Amino acid sequence: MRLSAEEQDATVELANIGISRAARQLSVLLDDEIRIGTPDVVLCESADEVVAALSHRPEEEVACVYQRLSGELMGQVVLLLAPRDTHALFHNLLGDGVMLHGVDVRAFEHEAMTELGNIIISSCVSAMADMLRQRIEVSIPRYSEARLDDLIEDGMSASRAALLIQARLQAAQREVDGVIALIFSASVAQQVLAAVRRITAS
Amino acid sequence: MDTRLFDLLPIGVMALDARRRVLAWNQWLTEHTSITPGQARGCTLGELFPNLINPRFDMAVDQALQGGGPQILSQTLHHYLVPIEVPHLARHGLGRMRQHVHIEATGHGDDAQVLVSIIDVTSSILKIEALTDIAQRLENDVNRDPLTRLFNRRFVWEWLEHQHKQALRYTYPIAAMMLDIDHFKAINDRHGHLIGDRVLQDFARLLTQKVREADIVARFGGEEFVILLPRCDGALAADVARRIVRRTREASLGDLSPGAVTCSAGVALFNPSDPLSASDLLREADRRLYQAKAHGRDRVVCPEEAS
Amino acid sequence: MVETSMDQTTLLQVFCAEARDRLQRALACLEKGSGCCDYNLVHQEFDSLHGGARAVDIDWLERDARVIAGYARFLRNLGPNHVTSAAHNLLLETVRILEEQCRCRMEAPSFAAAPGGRLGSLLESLESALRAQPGPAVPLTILVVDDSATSRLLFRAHMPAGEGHAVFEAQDRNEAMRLADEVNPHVVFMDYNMPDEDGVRIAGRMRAMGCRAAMVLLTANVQQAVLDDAHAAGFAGVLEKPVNREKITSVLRSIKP
Repeated sequence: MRLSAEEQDATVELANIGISRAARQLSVLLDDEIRIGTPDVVLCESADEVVAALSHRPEEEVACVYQRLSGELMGQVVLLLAPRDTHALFHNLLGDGVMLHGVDVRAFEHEAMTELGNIIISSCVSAMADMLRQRIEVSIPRYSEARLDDLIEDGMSASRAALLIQARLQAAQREVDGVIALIFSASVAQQVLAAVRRITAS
Repeated sequence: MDTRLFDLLPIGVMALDARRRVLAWNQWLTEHTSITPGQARGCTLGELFPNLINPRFDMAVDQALQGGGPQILSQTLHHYLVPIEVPHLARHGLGRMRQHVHIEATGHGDDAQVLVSIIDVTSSILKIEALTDIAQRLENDVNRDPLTRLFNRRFVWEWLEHQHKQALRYTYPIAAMMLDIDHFKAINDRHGHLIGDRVLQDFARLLTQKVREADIVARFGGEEFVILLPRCDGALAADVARRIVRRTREASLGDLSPGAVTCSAGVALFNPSDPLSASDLLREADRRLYQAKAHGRDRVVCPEEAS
Repeated sequence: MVETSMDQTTLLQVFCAEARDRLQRALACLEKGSGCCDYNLVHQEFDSLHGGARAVDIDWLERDARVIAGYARFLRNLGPNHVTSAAHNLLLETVRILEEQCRCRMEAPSFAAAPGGRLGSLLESLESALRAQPGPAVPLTILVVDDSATSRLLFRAHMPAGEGHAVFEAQDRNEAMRLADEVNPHVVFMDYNMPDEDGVRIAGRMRAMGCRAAMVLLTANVQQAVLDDAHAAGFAGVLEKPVNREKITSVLRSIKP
């Protein structure tokens, strides 16, 4: 299964709206303009394809925030953040003059990344709900860290396909730059595409 | 929900309407803010706490109302939503209660309500900070020499390993200086260990005064010291070494008369265009220190004058 | 046709005869009911009546015909399925009374005096209904510049219907420049993230070319920095994606082309 040109265009537009919303909130948090790259959208048919499409190495440790969707869209959405991308973000979020070491970096980083993940996921989901005119319920966010391949394997065991959205976010004034990856489980991908097809057919 | 149950919750709970005005305010909030439900009802948080400006809270409420699902405000990024003073914790930098905030919307349009839960996480922050304190102290101790409070041999190797890579990548030189107090055993024998220790401490102080903040001064063992100077060329390092040797000769260390204590130094240079390994760098410095001793002590041997 | 040699009295007589015909045609049309009435025809009759009344200096009729023409256009723009019977009957009753009064007084010189009473209050109702009407009254030529077909499609799908706006679409800079020249739009909705060049620059090129359209930034990215940039670049407004009818209507209402 591949995305048609219309579906590709529609999902990129959808992703762009969601990520723009997230960027607006991040810009308030960081007090800086967030530049957004054009989102890259791929429909993957296996866990291997997802891993291949990501810019991370399979054995790399990644942080992820996941939330379950229910209501008119059922499934799971996972946000991946590579630790190498998020350290600078985290330190910028805390502001200058805050030095953290060892234990607390990890504890606080988990907390802050959960909030960031929540912002990005819920922005995208609310953009979808708006554009697709559907009601989507979202569970509270959960955080975990895992090897990338294990994480994808676990997340995709029950499903075969997934919609992968990647976009680059960059702060204008600070050294914050990273790629976020959102993975929607197959069931969500199918329903989003169905809704997109309804729109593009109208 | 039965409002009595609402009041029994060990967390702060408030309900806001679509225009962000308080509809409900539980007992926990009344106890901690001294604002009664009657006073809170109909007001926005901005009206209740005039100094509270939190655009992120407003956006999170918007997001929840627009179907974005539950929103969280972490204590890491915001510290708190509602300002609540906590007694006795100001010295920990925790004058106010740290809060984890959860925001969820129900209903639609004008009938929508927002439920805001506030969880006190101050004690877990204290625990984390206490742990960090201990870890920090442990970490410092394993890197420091207890007598002089200089870095120790273990740290030198750790630092060099890291700096060596950086210097290669960003192509900058590192100067290494190996120093030794001349005839230290004789000083110890003649004046006793207490004076000997004070000589070491004073010498350590003298070394740290002669270098830049980015330089590393370490007690390598016994009366042997190492100074590592990143981004420092051979001429400058030689200069620093000569000044240290002269100052040692002129100073009164451990209350001994000036000239009673002298030192020798060997300087080596890591040059990214002709790189040495970290251990070869220290070995070179040590070799030149040996040459300085062999040539009569109280002197420096630098790369260009070494044979 | 009015001949230039006619004196004022003859002119008035010709106008009165013409006005009577117009009023009767409009009334006949309105009496078919809200489902079958051609509001466009009603609008045209009163528009002409308005022009004629001005030519013969009958102030009250000029004013009343303008109000009625505006109201008929409003109903036309709503579309036949959205006109309530109350809205229709208001117009019907107004036109009926006007027609009656004009028929009685057409021959007399007293025609020039404004009728009062019931007609006056009906016209007030029409005017207040018009004041509350959503959307601009003038049909606009609109150019949407966006590389995303979905975005253009959604824009078209949510355009307020029945207001006679003409929407043109461009998917890249060259097409945008060509259409800006050819259709001379009143309003340009410009996507920020365009592949060749950002929307603010394309808008600058259009201006340099002489395009006088009001520029509206079409973007999901509504960070303060972007809004400030758009404002500094002379954009008249920002339309946040995803678009919906309310947002488009409110932007169109806020700008004055």
